[in-house]
Amino acid sequence: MSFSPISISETDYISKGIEKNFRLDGRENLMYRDFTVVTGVVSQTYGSARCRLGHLGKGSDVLVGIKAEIANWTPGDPETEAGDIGKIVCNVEISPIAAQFFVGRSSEEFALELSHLLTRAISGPQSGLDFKQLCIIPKQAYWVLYVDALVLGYDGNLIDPLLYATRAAFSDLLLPKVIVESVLDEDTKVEHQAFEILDDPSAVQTLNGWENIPLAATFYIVGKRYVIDCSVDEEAISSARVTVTANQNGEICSVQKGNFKTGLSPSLLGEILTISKKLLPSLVLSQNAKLEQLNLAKSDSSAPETSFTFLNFF
Amino acid sequence: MFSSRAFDNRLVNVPEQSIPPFLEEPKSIKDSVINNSRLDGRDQVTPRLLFIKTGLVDKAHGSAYLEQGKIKISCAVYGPRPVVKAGAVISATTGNLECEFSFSSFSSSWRTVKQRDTEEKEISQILTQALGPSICLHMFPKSSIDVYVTVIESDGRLATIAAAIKCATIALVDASIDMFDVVTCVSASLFNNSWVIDCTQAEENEEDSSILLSYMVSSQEITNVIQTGKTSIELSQNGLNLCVDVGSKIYQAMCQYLSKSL
Amino acid sequence: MSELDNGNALSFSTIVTPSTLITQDAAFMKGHGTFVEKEKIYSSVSGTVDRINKLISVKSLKQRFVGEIGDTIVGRVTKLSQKRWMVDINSRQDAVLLLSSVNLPGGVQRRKSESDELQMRKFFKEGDLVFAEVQSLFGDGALSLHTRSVEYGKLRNGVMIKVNPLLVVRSRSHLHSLPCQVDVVLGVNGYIFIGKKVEKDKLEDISELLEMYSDTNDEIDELTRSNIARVYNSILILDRMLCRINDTTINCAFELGLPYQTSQLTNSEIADEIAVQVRIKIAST
Repeated sequence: MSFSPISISETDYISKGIEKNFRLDGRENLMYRDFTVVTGVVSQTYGSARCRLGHLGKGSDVLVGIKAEIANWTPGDPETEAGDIGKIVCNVEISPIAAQFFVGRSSEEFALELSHLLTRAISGPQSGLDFKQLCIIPKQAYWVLYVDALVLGYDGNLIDPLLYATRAAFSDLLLPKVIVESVLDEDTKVEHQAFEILDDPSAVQTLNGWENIPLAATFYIVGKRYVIDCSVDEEAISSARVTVTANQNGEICSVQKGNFKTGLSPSLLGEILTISKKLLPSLVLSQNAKLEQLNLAKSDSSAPETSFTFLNFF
Repeated sequence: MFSSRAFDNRLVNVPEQSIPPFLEEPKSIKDSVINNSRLDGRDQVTPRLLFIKTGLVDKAHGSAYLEQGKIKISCAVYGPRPVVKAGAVISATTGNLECEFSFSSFSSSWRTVKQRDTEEKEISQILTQALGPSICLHMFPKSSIDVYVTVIESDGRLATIAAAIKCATIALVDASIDMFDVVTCVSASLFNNSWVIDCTQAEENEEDSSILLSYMVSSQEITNVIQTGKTSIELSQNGLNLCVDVGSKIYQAMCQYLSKSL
Repeated sequence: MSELDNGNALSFSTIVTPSTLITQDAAFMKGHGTFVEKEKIYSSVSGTVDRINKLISVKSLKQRFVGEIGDTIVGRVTKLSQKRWMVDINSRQDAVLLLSSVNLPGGVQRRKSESDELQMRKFFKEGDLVFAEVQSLFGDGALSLHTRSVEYGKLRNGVMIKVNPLLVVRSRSHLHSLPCQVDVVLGVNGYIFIGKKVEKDKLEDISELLEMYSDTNDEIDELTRSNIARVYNSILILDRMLCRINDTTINCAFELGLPYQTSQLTNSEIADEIAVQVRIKIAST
């Protein structure tokens, strides 16, 4: 990913502003822009959400859809070796719609980085999800959740809306119910287990533990200070990037540094960790409130059903 | 690292699925690690012994070979040279750093197939991020420095990446490329409440969470950090501090070798 | 193809879509946004019909900037080549700023020498913001710029914001000093520069100084910085609410925003409120 160049005086103006804790649009260094989130936007998925982070209905825009498939257990796969858990596979794609510089190979590399970052945050026990619920028959069949994120808009800071949308999509996730029963094989007279998926649309289950999914705060280091939720210009002049994900209890789930211009001192990293511990649980709370509001609006049958979710909500 | 095989028509066909035979693995590694008696006799904060040798690839402008326990890594550096990679952005102010990381097919307990997944690409990115801040890239405008790392044998995913970064930084020094500092890299895994340095694959399989930290000792800068798994903030801080400490010791060993090798 | 009238040209401000027949009268001439087939004029974009005497053009509501001679624009240098800078001006092609059409330190009469050619990066380099005027058009439609005036040149002490170019209307002056000690440079190409006010008397002798191409910012106090941020957000609101952007509307939005904190201005409800008020005020004057 390469940014268009920016002049020395602008760089100076922006970084001096950050030093004074006063950014271009009047935000303080540790202030987010507005998060907007909608769930249930893609009907072909088992759970989906779209999140936009920015001013006045513009900004970074991420769409996440979760598809579930059933896989046969095979020995030798280190992830499902235990045989009683399912699997989550994350993939991030950056659409060239998002910004002009997301064309070709450079965007692929960035998308790959984001995919691994997302995997690190949610595909494992640190996400707090109930992986055992994803097992259908031990050592035989399990659910694979494909978490596919599509970046539709870019205005700085992609990682935070990515996690935000992912958590919202998991809150929206409804898996079909599965019945497991013993079947007697007529030839060999051996009893084995088989499963059947209920095609009743109301027989669905939510995935336990989605509340524990972490959210991300990405700190961009500009000069000696750091900002969260930076704009494109701030991202262009930043020298390093640290993403911290933490869940509602303030437990750190992953830390990752990106961008190779400079390093950062261990004490600064410590400071960032402390701040994210304060910042992220409150972000989780505000997201929970937003999701609850969405659920209320959905259960309110008097509201007309439209596909408003894909329009600008401003 | 997955064992499922994607079909790749650039290679000679293999059966769609085959499973390596299982060997009995020692049980309760976790207990022995927590009790500070690891299988290879180390204590929790001691890394495996390091063997480094520079200049093994004579065609390269700089090269290094590194052994750490079972891990064997070879690295070659070409450059600074004109940008050869297609589609690379040529900058008039800084040079490009390109890292390419690859596993050999027999590097781990299961056979890896070329181009199989995105893991090698991701590790290449980690390498670029870890080494980037240490190189005086502003001195090489319009040229690129290419670092190729091949893992001959691996033991522990993070430990292998850590070794690769150390190997690459030494190869860069061997190529006499101007650098701000030598990068050291330490991996650690969390078992219950204690961090354990430089875990083998068997140990990593049972870890609760992990850290990979690349660090420049004399300028006291972290060039790359990746932490996975749930921890509290205090534990996380402890782990980072431990990695910085161990990193400093490894740094001394690396510097000692580098000055002796001249 | 739909036909909207019989023989007569459509009246001004009729909205048309591509391939609408505008007129069959051969007396009219085709302008921008139209094409001729069998001596009839059709529209090629969707927008409003504009008629100046016998010239018919269709002005689209969302169009990239098309420059005309005399336009004052803000651009960003993208590339240096032989004796010229290429400048991104939000148009279909990068504009050209020739070394011969800039004022160099040492007075207007100074001759450009080879050494100037070698140190072009000392004047403008990649990423720099330029305030310039369109001098002429090349055959392929590319614009040639010049900065031969004291107020044109390199921009510093502030930031740039991009807006819809159609909201910035061509007017007599494009450099406005707002009462809040902030200068706004309205480029008709939709790039707007907001910066600290430049003292007028300083402007006179600046051409003598090397400072003209300096990259270092002046000391900017907190009040100015906060005013710049307010103006920035005001323009953001005007752009989003599709209000015309000129010194009056910016000022109006700025004043309406004063009761709120700077960072609150981007809140959608407040922004909505401000935009409505601005519209009412403009309509009343």
